[in-house]
Amino acid sequence: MEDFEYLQALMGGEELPERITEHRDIWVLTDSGKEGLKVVNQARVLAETLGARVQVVLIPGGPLAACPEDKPMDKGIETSDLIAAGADRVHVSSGDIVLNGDAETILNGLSIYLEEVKPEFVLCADDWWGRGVVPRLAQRLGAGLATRCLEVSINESDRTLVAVRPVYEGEYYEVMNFSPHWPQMVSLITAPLSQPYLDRYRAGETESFVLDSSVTSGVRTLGDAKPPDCPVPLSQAAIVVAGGAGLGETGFQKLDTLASRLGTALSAAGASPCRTDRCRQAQMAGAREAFELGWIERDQLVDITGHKIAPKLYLALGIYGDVMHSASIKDAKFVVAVHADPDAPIFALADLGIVANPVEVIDRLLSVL
Amino acid sequence: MLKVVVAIKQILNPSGFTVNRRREKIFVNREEYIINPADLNALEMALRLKDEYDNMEVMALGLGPARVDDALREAIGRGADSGVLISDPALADLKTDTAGAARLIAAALKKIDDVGLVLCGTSALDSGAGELPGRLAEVLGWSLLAEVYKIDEVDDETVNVSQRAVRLEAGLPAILTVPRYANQPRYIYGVRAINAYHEGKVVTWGLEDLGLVPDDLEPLIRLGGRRFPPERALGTRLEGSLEEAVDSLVAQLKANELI
Repeated sequence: MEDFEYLQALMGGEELPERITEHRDIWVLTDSGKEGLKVVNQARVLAETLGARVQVVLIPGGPLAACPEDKPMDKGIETSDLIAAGADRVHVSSGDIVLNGDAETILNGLSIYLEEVKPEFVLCADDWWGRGVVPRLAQRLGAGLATRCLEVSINESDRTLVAVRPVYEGEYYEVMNFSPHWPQMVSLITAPLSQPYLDRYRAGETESFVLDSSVTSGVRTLGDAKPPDCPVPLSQAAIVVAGGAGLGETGFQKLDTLASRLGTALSAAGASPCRTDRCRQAQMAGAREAFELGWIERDQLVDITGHKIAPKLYLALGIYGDVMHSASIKDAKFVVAVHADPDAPIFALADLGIVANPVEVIDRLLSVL
Repeated sequence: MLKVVVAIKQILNPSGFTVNRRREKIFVNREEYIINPADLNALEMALRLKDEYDNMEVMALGLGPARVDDALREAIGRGADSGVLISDPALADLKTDTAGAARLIAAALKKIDDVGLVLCGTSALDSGAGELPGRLAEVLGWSLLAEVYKIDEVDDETVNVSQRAVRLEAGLPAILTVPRYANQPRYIYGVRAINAYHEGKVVTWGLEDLGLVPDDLEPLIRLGGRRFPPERALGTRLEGSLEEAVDSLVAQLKANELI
């Protein structure tokens, strides 16, 4: 089946120029996080255009490190999931490499491995360790890089990548063209992408390799600092319930209950394997005014200066919706706004709006949910 | 004397332009440039080191056209000791990318000589890429400590920092990236801002000074154009009494499998 698709892509794509480089295939770098599947799926789309294969380097770990105290957020993805999402070959690193603050060992191992296999394109998710590793990897491989991209496609005239990345927090997008020089690397923002369909009947190969860990880093870990307050970052929460000054302090305190009520419903539906309270998928947040009034921490701030989020459901309760706020929720899939002022700009962004006193709406929601 | 270099990027002030998605145009109402906000946090971290230790020298390093001089003078007004501007007419035509910028800055850091710490903002507000610190670390072969929110201790040999949930130690020289939540940048005093133009020392280095030629800086990616996100369609407002509206809201959320 694979060979057939490969041939078909080659035959169908006659206009594609010959590869003028010895670099080949699309390589995806991922940890065990679910975001990796989305990137593999994007790579699959490119592979169909190019007639190339999708190879995945899986470094187990990741979500465990993001959730230090409680139970792991989820089991993490298996090689079979990666194949089902579109990988042709999965290279699993064996050995005890821990994804922590210091990226140097992993970086060294990866760069040695990739220099050997000569990838044509390298894709990965824009998560926090990717942010530490990818620019350095690009420099080592002499690769062009576009980070934090929304879309990636192929320029069919010269087999180079075209990446679209948001600038000024998504005010507009820049289209970046790669020069004909390989490898070419892109890191993708995965939050707006949907989880791919997993085709359990897809065939693929798995092999394990040992990541070279001979180079130890110049950075030493001394111990624990104050851990981040919120193990599931706001940017990854499925539901965000945010409040603004329109709620008043007493109304604001009810937000947390509402968030956990929605989160419990989501966990019960099987959307989130982690049921510990700290890691729940519905998070409470607030707008700028709430932060200035001291009702929330900076970790919970939804604003250009705080978090830019892309939840499935965003509830804005008593938030007027200034530009700074609107810019940070642009990628939310579904926005519900409740405000007493019918002219509040937040309604322009909302899929559903209710003009009412937000505190009464919270009370009513709590009684029905 | 420990030299702390703060890399500063000058960007167009986002309050000075509006984006019209329907016409797919950017209207620049006021061409005003500011220091990238995260770089101000990096500068603040450097200035706090200067407050705490006696033997610190803080230098601001900028790259770009002559107007970047203003950003460096602002940094001096805030408390930096001097500025270095990498500027060359040849760079304007070259449209160099981050890889090229990293080479330029690395060359400047070598020329400054004996640099202990380099502080950068985690990412720029305009591109949001956060690519430079990593590339810089590779060009120089120095340690990189990303998303450092606090420098716990620094001496001539090592630096101890807090990063997310761990404390790390690295030998000098090291490159640190500073996120927006690390601190609150201090205000600039008016007199010092003016004096920065009279007394501030900013040197300008071109390609020749850094021993680079334009061929070294050939870009690997180029800006191909702009695109605009679609305008959002107007949603619906739920009418009726509060109870009816909320019930209909819950029903619609359930229908869309959102809860």
